[in-house]
Amino acid sequence: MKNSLIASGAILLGLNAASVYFPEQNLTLAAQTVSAAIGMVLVFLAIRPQPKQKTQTAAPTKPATPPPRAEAEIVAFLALLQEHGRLVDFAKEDIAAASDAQIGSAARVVHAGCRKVLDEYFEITPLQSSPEGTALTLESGYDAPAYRLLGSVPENPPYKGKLLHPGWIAQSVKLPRVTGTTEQRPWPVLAPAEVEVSGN
Amino acid sequence: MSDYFGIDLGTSNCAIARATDAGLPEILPITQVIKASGIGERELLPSSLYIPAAGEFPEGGPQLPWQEAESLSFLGTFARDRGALQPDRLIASAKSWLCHPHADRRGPILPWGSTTVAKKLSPLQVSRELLSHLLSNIRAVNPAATLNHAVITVPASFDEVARALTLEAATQAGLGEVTLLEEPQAAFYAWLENQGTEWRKQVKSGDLLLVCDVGGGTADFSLIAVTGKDGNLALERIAVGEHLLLGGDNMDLALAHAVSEKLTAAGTTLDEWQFLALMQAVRAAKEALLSNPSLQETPISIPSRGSKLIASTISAILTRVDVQQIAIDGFFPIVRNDEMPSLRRAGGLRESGLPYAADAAISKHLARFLSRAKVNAASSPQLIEAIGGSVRLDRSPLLLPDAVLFNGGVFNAAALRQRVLEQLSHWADTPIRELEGSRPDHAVALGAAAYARLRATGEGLRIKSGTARSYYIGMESSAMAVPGRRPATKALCVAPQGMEEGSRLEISGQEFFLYTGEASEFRFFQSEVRAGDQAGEILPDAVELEESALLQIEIPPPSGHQPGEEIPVRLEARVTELGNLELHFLHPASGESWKLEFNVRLQ
Repeated sequence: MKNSLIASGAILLGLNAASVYFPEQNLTLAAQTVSAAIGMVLVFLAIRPQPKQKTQTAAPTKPATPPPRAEAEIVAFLALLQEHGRLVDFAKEDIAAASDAQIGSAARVVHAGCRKVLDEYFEITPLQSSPEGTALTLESGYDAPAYRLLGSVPENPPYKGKLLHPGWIAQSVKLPRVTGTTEQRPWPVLAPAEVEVSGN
Repeated sequence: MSDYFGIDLGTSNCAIARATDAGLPEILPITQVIKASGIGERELLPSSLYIPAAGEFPEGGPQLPWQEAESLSFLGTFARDRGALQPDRLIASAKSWLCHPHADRRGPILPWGSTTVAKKLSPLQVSRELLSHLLSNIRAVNPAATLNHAVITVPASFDEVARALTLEAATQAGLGEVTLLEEPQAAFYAWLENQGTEWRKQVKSGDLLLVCDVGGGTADFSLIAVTGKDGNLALERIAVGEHLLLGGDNMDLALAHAVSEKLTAAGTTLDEWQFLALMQAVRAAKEALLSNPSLQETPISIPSRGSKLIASTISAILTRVDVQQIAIDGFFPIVRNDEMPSLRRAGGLRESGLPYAADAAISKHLARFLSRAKVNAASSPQLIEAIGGSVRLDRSPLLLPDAVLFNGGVFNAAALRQRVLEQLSHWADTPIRELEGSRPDHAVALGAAAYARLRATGEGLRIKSGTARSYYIGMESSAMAVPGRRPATKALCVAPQGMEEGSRLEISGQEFFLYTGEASEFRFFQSEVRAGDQAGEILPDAVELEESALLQIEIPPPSGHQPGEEIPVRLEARVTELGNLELHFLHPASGESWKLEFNVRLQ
């Protein structure tokens, strides 16, 4: 699960990066933003520290609900992105026949909602403060997990290069705590079916 | 180390702040139900209460950590979001009902007009639920917190009945003894706290300061006079405004209607859900346009109802012209100093419900406030002295301030702050300045916490305030009977404006007669514009006052007296340490006394 998340996140980020490398390619800005958003989110989900499993003693009268598991939290987070940013609707819809204007308009909904969720539940800052294109040198002992080295990389640092993407880091995470999961439903629904009630 | 808590019990959102022995107060996050399957922390607790249908959560809904039993209602973010889709089950603005003089504030009337909710709640209950939720949060952070220092803010426009009900809700919620503080004053305390010793550089003795507080649903004004000699400044709150149900939400609604009309003209109609989505989108677009002067328009996307997002998203545009015409010129038009708001709608019949302001022009409401403040100040020699003499009165038909402190989310937009300053400068014919360093979003809670600390430690500058209005009790006049005419009700001033906490005033030199053993009627009146009235003064006709409450009560005769007998009593007004106004009837012969609280209960 975790690896597949990292992989899919990386693919999407890669896609996004690809559009930077090949600016002449006709990728709309909207598609870029959305793929970056999804990619970032998936990577975040994957690299989030796993909450410690709490041992729970069963209450004598009520059957104990299983402790929220990582999957439940990930689904709940995806549900937030769907609720505010319609992310699942967007990704699941067939866009082959849609015009760029239509996609652009929908992307505004996705953008506004996903951004709201990111702003509300994370404190996200760029990993590197220097602007893209800045030359930089990574000395030995650099914070390796915070960098991805591209191009022809020599065996040992120092690595000299140019900053392509400053990276992001979540300074804090305060996701809602999932409630109401049961053995039958170990994670919440992504988006409840909506019914307009007109009476009894 | 002690903790001092300030609670902003807002119309749209609540917040808690904590001050410790030193340093700036901080906002405490509030644990709440965020969505149907999740609990989390937010800085604000939306003051919304949602009553789910019995069949909506058959397995029980999300439960907060401190809840033992399943709750029949939800508060906060989830309540606001879910309730927006089911307005019949949502209670919003309960606080405005608390000061609605024609509503039964203890009666189960909310959600107002709902036909689906089986068990409704009273405005008092909703306030209690909100406060008890906030208290649980304080307890979660600090189980040992002594809450006798807690300060709860109320609008300056809250009358004594609404204040007493807020205190009662706090007691019922288990907060113990709390103190009430007017919101504009709280914002001012937050500013003082934030400025440290620097504030003296921004104001000087003789200045008159306006606190202009426009939140989501309400507008609240106060005037604070700066008195005293150099280095030893004192502050006195000298005028408060009327309760105005008008704020930023009205702007968003107006803008959403404008966009929706454009869409309708182009052949697209929005359903209710889409209109709600449009309101949210318009709010963000308005903020973007107001904060970025180079932006000419902001595209808006309104998502479809079903799962097809791309195929059926509706596009619209909010332009700078819309924002200028509707939000700025519509709500803050530049008006003359005699342009007063129209107080009633043109229709002869009004639907019951909250008395929303009929005129959206906040500038006109401000003109009315400043003109009433002038009448009030002119009636009292003490107030004339406090505002630096009658020179200020002669200058304009309005009592104009020298500087403004802004508060409330609306004034995050510099363009709107600028507009209010422009209006005031236009009236004054001289530039009116802004007090720098305001924090429109959290100031009320932060200021309340600072005030809680100040009250407990006695260190710091206090704003002299006292009762914001003068209070009267109706008296039947002794006049010859005329068939078909009830004698005019005279009004006896029992508590003058500016009575301070912990003080009492006996109405001396007069005796009054009280009917006992029979149901009789007590009428209470108040005025914001009669600072000159002294306790014991009798107004020949109560008609010029605002009636605040009516009480039908039977007072038992003291021992040795027959029912139906009139007994001589003396009257004494007291303002308790908590800021609650009480009226005592003392019967010297028997030593018995009766207390009437201004939330109209007899004890």
